[in-house]
Amino acid sequence: MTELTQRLPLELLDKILEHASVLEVLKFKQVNRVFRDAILTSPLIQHKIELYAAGLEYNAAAGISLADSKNALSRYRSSMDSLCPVEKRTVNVWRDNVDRTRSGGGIYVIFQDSVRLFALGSASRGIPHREWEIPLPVADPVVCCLCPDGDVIAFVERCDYPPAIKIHLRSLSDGEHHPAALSPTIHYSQMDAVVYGIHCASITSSRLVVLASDRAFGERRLMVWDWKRARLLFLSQCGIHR
Amino acid sequence: MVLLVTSDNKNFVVDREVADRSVFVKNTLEARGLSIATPPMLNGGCFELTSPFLQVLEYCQHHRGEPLPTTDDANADENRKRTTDIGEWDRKFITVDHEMLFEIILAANYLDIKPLLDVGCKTIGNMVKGKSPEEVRKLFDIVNDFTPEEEAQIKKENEWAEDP
Repeated sequence: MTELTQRLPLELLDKILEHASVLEVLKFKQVNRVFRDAILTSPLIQHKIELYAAGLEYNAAAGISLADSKNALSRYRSSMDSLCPVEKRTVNVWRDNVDRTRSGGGIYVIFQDSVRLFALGSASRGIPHREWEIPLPVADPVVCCLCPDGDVIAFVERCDYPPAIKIHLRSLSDGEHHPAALSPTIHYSQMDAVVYGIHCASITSSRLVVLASDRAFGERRLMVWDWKRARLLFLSQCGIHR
Repeated sequence: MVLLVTSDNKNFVVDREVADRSVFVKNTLEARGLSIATPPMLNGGCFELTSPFLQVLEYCQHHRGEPLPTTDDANADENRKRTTDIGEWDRKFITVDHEMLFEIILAANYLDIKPLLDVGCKTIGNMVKGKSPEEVRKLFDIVNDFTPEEEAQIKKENEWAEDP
């Protein structure tokens, strides 16, 4: 016999879970993939979870209609929005290297000896806002980039004599050496002259891209790395005319 | 009278009033102006329609002539409120084994018989109430297909909602 839940369309599972409390629904995410997917993709259930997280409860039996709860939620959201500036804080930023990640996962700020990371939470997925700090692996990184999916943060450092680029890979969550990276530091010394600038860098869970230039010819180099194995996959050089 | 043919080629002659409980059949009849409706194969043919269909017919016969629920959004909440409890007859009717219960739900969904679908879903909803994920798996013979990492991840995601 095929499993009963395999044959049940997701919207029917959705209907079955309609009367369960938010806490129960969250628990049922653990039953199997079908249950989890039904819960994660149901607008009504996600709406109920968001209401619950906001301290409001959706309850059709108590005579609170969906429209009422929607209004309550929008009132709650606007009141939260008006509260937001209270979160403003002053920090002494030594290097105002601020970036947002592509996944919308967070923001980081680099201080003299550490990186402060702010990850945005999601009420419906039960992920709280998070703020933590990891130490800087090198005193003077030029560029920094991160990828929450790969739990990785990369610091690109410029070395003048001999000219080289050093890439330090760290775990985003604890600042330790990344467990998947063969080497915690990638050392690239094939520069023709002094490293003039490291313009930008970007990282995914498997690749790292760095754009740098050396002074001698005003050339730009685009490098694509397999950062886990410390291998240069692609190098493109081009001159720029100012 | 209407002739209904199930996917395993059994014929049923039923009153129009009974057949009209199914919005699917009703609309089909009205659209085609015919007296024959053929509920086609469900789920690629692995679905034996006859046994749940007999149950569904019994339900339709019992509830014949009752007003069909409105699909009006303004009343949807009202209706839901009123039907939170399952009626006496319906409760006895729906007391069947799990497999049949699922078959009835699938048939009710396909034939678009909303009150029956509600009764079925509510019955299962009541069954899982207060159960742990493991008990739910046991109840419906479900295999846990998560890796230990995924399970830990879900538990972590749920931490915020747990009792302090």
